[in-house]
Amino acid sequence: MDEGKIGNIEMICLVVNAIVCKAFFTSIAAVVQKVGTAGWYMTIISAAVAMGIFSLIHMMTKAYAGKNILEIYDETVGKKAGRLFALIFCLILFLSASITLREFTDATNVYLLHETPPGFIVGMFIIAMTVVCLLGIEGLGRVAKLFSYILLFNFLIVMILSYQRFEAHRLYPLLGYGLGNTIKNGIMRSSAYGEIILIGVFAKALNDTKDAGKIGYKSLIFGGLTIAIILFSVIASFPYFIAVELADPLYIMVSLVQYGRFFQRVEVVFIFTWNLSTLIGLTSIFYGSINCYCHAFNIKDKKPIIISFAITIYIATLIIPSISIILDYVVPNLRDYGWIGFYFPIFIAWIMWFFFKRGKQTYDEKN
Amino acid sequence: MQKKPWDIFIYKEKPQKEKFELLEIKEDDNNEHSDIEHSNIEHRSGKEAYIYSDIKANLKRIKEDFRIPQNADIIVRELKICGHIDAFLVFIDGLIDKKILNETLLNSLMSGTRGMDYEEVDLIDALADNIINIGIVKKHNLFDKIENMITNGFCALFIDGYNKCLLLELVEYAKRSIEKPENEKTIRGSKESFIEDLPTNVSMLRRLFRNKNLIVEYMKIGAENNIGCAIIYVNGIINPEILKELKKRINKVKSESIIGSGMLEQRIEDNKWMIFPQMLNTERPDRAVSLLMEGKALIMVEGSPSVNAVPITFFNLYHTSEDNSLRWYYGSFISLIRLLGVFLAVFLPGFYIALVLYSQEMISSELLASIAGAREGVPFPTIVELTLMEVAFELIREASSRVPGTIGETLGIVGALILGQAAVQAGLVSPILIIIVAASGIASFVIPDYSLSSAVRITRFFFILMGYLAGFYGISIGMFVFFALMSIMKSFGVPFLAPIAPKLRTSPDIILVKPIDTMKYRPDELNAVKKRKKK
Repeated sequence: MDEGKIGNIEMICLVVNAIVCKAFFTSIAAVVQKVGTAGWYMTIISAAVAMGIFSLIHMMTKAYAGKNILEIYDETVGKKAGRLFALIFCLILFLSASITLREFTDATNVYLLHETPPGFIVGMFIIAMTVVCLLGIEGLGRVAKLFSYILLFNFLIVMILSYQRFEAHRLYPLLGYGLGNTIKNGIMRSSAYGEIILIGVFAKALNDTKDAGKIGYKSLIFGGLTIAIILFSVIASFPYFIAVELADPLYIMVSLVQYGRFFQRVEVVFIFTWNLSTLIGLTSIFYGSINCYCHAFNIKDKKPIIISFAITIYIATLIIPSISIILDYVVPNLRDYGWIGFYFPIFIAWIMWFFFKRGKQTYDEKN
Repeated sequence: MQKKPWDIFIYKEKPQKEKFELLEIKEDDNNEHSDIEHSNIEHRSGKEAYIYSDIKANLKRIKEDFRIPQNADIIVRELKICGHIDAFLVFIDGLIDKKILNETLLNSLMSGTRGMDYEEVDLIDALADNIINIGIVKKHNLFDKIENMITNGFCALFIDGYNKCLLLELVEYAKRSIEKPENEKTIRGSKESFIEDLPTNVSMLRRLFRNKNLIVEYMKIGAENNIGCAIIYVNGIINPEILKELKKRINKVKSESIIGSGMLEQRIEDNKWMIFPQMLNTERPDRAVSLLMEGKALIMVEGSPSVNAVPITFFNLYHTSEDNSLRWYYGSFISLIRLLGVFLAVFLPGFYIALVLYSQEMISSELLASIAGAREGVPFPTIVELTLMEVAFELIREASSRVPGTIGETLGIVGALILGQAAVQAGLVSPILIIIVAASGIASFVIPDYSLSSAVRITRFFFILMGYLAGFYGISIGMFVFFALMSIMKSFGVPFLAPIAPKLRTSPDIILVKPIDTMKYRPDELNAVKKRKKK
């Protein structure tokens, strides 16, 4: 299957959307619940941790030019362990996609399509994801970039319009539940930026794999800033006791925008931002998961796998009977322990490379 | 191989199709391009047999091939040259200039050859060099070529004892005079358009582009109807790979007959399943020249009053020929209005249905009351009401474009006004819906390219369906898939949404136009040999 190539900005758009789309749903309330009013800078700590982990990917992609992270695993830890790591990536990305999709479905059901069955919402979403995945990374990257500028513009408009509801006193106490708690949660919740591994997975789609480093850092900075702005605006807009209860605080925030009798309820602008960003983000996570699976089993043609993954994700998304189980168990566990799946293989591979392979590489280069 | 029932459970990798990619080439401003193939590619069909020395055998063969006397307009004129050598002329009545035939050719052949010492010289050469005073004289000895030339308006001269034939260009036939363009009207631009005659069209281009680097290559297309086709390009600007690919695709066309550029376009485009056109069709010579200057190739087909340009992007279809003639303020303003038009034409009815069916809370109370009041008493659901009106609008548009001149215009106005008014009064549709349908219909008229306009009209129905199925969520899904499909579309290896997706260097005239001095570069996606328009 022809993979195609994408540019650096296209890759940044894909990864930023994959990271940011979670912020439209329950994660904001969960963060506020964990760290109180310090949530807006806690996420910057998480981004910094993710950046540290990403620097390991960066070092390895530099050392193994022209290879993606999955091929680097094969080189550093051997074929069998490399396959296992690829399957871990596949699983964590698949879980991330299906859980976020479920959050999206329930939010859409509650706020937009009240009487539509969740199966229909998920079905439409998955059909779109499947079609775009069948077009390959080139189509996905281009559509991500095409929409990202519009989404950014919409996002800024929404933030500016919501400014009227911001109250500075809601940001206090600035340290939330304490600095220690904020740092601890910031490190634990760094899995919120775990989608950064997509750069490693899609590295071969870049014109030069050496660009992966700057793309990753830019994506993390941009994603971190966006999530921090969202958290800041939500914390500044709602009292603490309301912010912890909102399943989709951004949507509520936008629906409260009112400038005169005519200019009010501008959710329509936000719906497109919300839907399109989630579509781009989840499609890239889904496609990343398929890439990992195909690598693990050495499958060259992804098309049949895309269809079967689509059916599987449909089932996985709807298998959990209620949103409360998702909110109380699934999402918190994914955010708190997701780093194991996202970062553990990278860390092991880096240790293997740094202590056992690097010297040999340097020797080979010298000779 | 026959498919077995169990094959549906077994995965087999599909063979990879050969894809054309337009790759970057080394910039060269020295015009050294000897590798471009300039030779004409001829489309041979049928039997290939050399002509005989015996004139009777030739005459018999010609009569058989052209089915004379059934074929009444094929004329065979037997004569004697040098007083006693048998010869005959074959031509098609109506395709040649009879005045030249009677007064010049026959006169010189019958009278001018008297007393000629035909045994001393090669008669064929002597006739071509000394006797026949006609501009273009060719020699051929293959029947299929000779017959092709005859159908193109040449007069063939067969002479007894010679296995070569002289082909004399006497082409003259009735053709339409150059008129104003009907589909691409402009305020300031040129007022002439192409006609159906290929040489006239080429001459119009030559007149606007007086440069030796303008190359016109003739080909024959259609295995049976053998009509002429010209590939036109500017040597030293166009990427040679585009030419190679274009010729390859045209030569691959196995169709029996190609009537017009539209048929050829469908045969050689990149993806036949995409809704958007992959070639630009223009009836304006000035626009054709500007496309040539960008590094595109033109395909001109005999009998078509327009030319196709390749490769193209969405933004070529979006612009008019006038955009560059206008000062940049006006050009930018019109371009923005056109963008709004495209947006309304595609999304307005879909947004309306999404808003009314799923997201009423987003409409301000007064507007909601107004919509609800207008819809009161309408017996149809909104989707039926909207579809009915959209179909009615398309009917009126199609009818008014098919009936002649002023009646067509009247039909459009009468249809839109009276039908709409009557439908509202009868309580079948709400007035607000008439506004929505009319606004999106008018918006679609601002799209300058007919094919793009048709694509937009069809796309509108897709977004109505998506809006009906799932409101704004459905429209978002539709947008995602639709733009993803658009972004992978290619026209001769050039991405359809270039230079935006992917982002490439270009002159600042994508949507907003900057002053003409800033237009320094040719579109990067074309990978032209000369990338800068000026030093």
